[in-house]
Amino acid sequence: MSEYRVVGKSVPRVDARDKVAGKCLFGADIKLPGMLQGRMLYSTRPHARILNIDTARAERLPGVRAVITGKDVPRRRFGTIVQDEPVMALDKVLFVGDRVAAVAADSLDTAEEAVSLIKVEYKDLPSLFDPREAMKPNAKVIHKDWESYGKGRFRTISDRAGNICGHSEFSMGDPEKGFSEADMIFEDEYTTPMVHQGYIEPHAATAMVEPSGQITVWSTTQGQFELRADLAGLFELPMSRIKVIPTEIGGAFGGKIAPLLEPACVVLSRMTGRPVQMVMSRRDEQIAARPRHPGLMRIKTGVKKDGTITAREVVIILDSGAYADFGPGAAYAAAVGGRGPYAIANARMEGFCVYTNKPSGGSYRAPGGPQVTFAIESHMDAIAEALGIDPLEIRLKNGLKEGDISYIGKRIERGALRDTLHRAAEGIGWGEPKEGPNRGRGLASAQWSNGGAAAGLTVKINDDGTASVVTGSVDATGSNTVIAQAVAEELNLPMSSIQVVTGDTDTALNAPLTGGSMIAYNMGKAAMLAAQDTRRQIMEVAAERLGVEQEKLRMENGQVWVKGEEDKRLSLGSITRTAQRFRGTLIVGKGSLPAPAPAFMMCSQGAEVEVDTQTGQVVIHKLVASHDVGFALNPDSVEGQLQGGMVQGLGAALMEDVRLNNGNVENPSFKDYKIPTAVDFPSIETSIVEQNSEEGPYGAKGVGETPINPPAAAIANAVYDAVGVRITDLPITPEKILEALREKADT
Amino acid sequence: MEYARPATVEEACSLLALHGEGARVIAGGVALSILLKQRLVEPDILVDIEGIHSLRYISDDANELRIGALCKHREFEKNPLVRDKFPWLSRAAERIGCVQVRNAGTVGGSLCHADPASDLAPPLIAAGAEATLRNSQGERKVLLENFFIDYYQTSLSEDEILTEIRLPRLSARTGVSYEKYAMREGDMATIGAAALVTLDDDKQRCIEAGIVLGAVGPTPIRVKEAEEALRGRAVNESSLRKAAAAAMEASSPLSDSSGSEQYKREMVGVMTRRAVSRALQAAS
Repeated sequence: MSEYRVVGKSVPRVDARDKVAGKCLFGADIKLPGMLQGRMLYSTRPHARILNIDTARAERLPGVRAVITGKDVPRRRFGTIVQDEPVMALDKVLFVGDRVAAVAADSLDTAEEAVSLIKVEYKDLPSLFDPREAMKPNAKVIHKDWESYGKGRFRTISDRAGNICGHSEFSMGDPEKGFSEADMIFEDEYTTPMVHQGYIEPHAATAMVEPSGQITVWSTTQGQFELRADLAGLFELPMSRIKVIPTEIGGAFGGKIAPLLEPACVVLSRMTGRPVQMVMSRRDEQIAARPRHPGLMRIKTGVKKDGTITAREVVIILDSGAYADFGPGAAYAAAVGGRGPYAIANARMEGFCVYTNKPSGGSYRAPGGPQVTFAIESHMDAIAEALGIDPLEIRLKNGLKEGDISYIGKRIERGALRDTLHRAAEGIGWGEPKEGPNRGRGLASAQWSNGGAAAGLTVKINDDGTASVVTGSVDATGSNTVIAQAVAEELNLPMSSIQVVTGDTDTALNAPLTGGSMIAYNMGKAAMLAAQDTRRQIMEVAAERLGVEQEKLRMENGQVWVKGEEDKRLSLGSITRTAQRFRGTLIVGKGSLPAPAPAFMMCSQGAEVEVDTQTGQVVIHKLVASHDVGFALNPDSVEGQLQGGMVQGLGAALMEDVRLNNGNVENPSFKDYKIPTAVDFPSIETSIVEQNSEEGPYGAKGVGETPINPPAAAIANAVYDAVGVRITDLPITPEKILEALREKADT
Repeated sequence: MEYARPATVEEACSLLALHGEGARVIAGGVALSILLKQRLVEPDILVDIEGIHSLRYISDDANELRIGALCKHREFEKNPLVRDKFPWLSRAAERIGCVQVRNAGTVGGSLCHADPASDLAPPLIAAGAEATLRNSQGERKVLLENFFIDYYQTSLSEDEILTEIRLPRLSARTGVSYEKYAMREGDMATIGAAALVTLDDDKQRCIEAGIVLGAVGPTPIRVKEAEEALRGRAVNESSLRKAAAAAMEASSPLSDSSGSEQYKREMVGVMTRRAVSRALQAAS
């Protein structure tokens, strides 16, 4: 189909061999001479004033090198959107898991023991756990200095007031008129719990402060440049005084963006003159990291009898927890996309992110998307049911079509939603007879957009004719492979001749953080442009040496020759060596682009389930994901992203739930916080739709986030189809299904 | 912490006798390594018995199935003899954790760890299995039913190791089944229910019954009242209901992330019914 040689082909990931062989160095693998181990003391109270912290016993413990509290850290606060988060609690703790003190010691055992010797005197304050209470005008304000907080680097169109740390509102058309034109109006409420990204590798950070004050930080971060900026801001240093080296990353999904351990490591290293490492335990992760916000969605839709939507109103309330982090962005994203992938002329959407005394939510794959999509897509089926319309039909009828405008303002050129809907429906045998009782099929569609960010990278030709690429992007998703593919494509080189190195903040050009489905879209484009620049330089030197016009040259497999005169040829190695030696020319290609417009993606997923009506358990028989990915740069990788995203969505659909009791996480382990494993679901059939983007490399769009949006609704809809009960509160546990079946039988 | 790897049962027993409560036996390490890492157990010496190859066997002897304590779950699950003559036991073994766990964990280790959620204990108890325990002085046999004392506690003395599980050949027209409820495939049981049903010559009445629950109390629970509800009667809706009700009554599940106490108790009833029904099917 494509005329491409390398892109669009399923090539193995460049990091696969090292990962499988256990050779990659992850955050906790960093070992430096004289390195100390750090441990954090977390608050045990959801909301309390700190009266006193007695560190004397900890400090006296042999092997302890430093103990720090809020007194020892910068007073400045940090935050992606609102700068509200201190490095360590300053005078109050705002949730169970807030950072209260930290220790650096010769060994982890000593550090742990020291932490247990720190005595904190608290005076408990009344806690707020329900965002609906916290957003009331008379509620106690959790951050009393909220008005003085600065803005973070990520700008959203949202405002703040008291406990509401993010409020976004959108309106289009005339909602009142739209509702008045409706034959029927449907109103529903949906809720989703806090869920954790569940990456296997916990957060790890290592800091080394030189006597000169120069700081080096190794971190599991998703974005070394953002982390550097955050640290420079906190410590009031020029960025050049800080080098951030991103380590190999063992899963992140948005959870490793804002600083968590790094500032404390820097302070401890400064005090001790030695490198300090901190690695979170799984328990730390579950109580003190940055999970997905619980969501409450109120949705109201006016429809004509034929299923045409005349108006919609959506209110999303996200529970921010103690700090804002990316919450206001998630509330913004949920609200701005609140119409779903449908053409709805009259709508009003409002998103709130509200402080409570709970763990602070952060970013998790498509922040805001899974919550609002669960509501929209469950609601669509409820409407279809009430109107006696097929759920597939109501989506096709209202879905964004050619000429419609998507929520990011893009005009739809082709009916990608229609394509994905048909494929997902066909994949699960929509409309066909079912194989047994209590079986059901469900569909859910979704939309998302990837970020457009300024990007740049360099490609150099080595003396042996291979190419080395230095990228400032962290490879969490196979992006280094895609970058290599773009370079191999443009230079007509085999993949084995391309090395991609993830650089640190000093060696790499600025790159976007790995999030927002941004890397393949933006850095892939930069790689394509950098390779094209490299090719131009090679051709210029070759033409001069071969004494012909550039148009007469052909480049393939590391050789440049004169067309028709096969013996007049030069190797890339020879070209690069002589260029430097005799011409003073370095063959280094640069590719950069200003932030492109985001791309818009739509998708549909389907599931066939069977419900055990005695236990309430859901068995999944079939799963299909059909997505518009623009252009699949590496189809196997794309398939992996679709499957991985869908599985994460299914975990949230069926079992994942960070259970809180008075602010305490009741299930802070993978034994009690259930995430699905490879044997829980059947393999997911994927179906790729390619509606090229305008600005992405080769027409590609972002892939990583979209697939996590629809699964919960697809399952909820399939369960309804199977046994006639609708679960509106995730996760859809067996117990909830059984209870709903009982209620249904009673009525 | 010291570490010893004896090659014989005698050597292992004398190490245990020497170190008393300071010693812990380790085999596959599936359970103990977690306890060690979490420092819930801090022994002076680890006695690693995996090198005692004589304890790794499965044999069919004089109408009994004999399982060496160091037999891996996976070996047990895949053993042709077990699959052929005790298919229900092979199926119960299949439900233990994941393949990696079954490749590492041993039958004896799992039983001695005495987690009430064990998948093997309920069906083995229902079928009348017996454990052989040895120390330097000799050996003794206990019914597996009496082996478990409390959460993670067995009737093993400090100087004893479990060497063998013996399962009597079941009488004719006997079926056994193990049902497991867990939120995820490969999880520890939230509820385990094993049933044994022996039918009379006409296959009309149940003449022998065994009902054992797992994971809903400090030890596997043999529910005699449920057995009484079946023994001497036809297995029908009425006797099933009584058996299930007795099982629910005997269980004491706790609320956690897998479900509320009430829901779990209800599932005890469902799993018991299913186990009995499947055992009945196998017996007929």
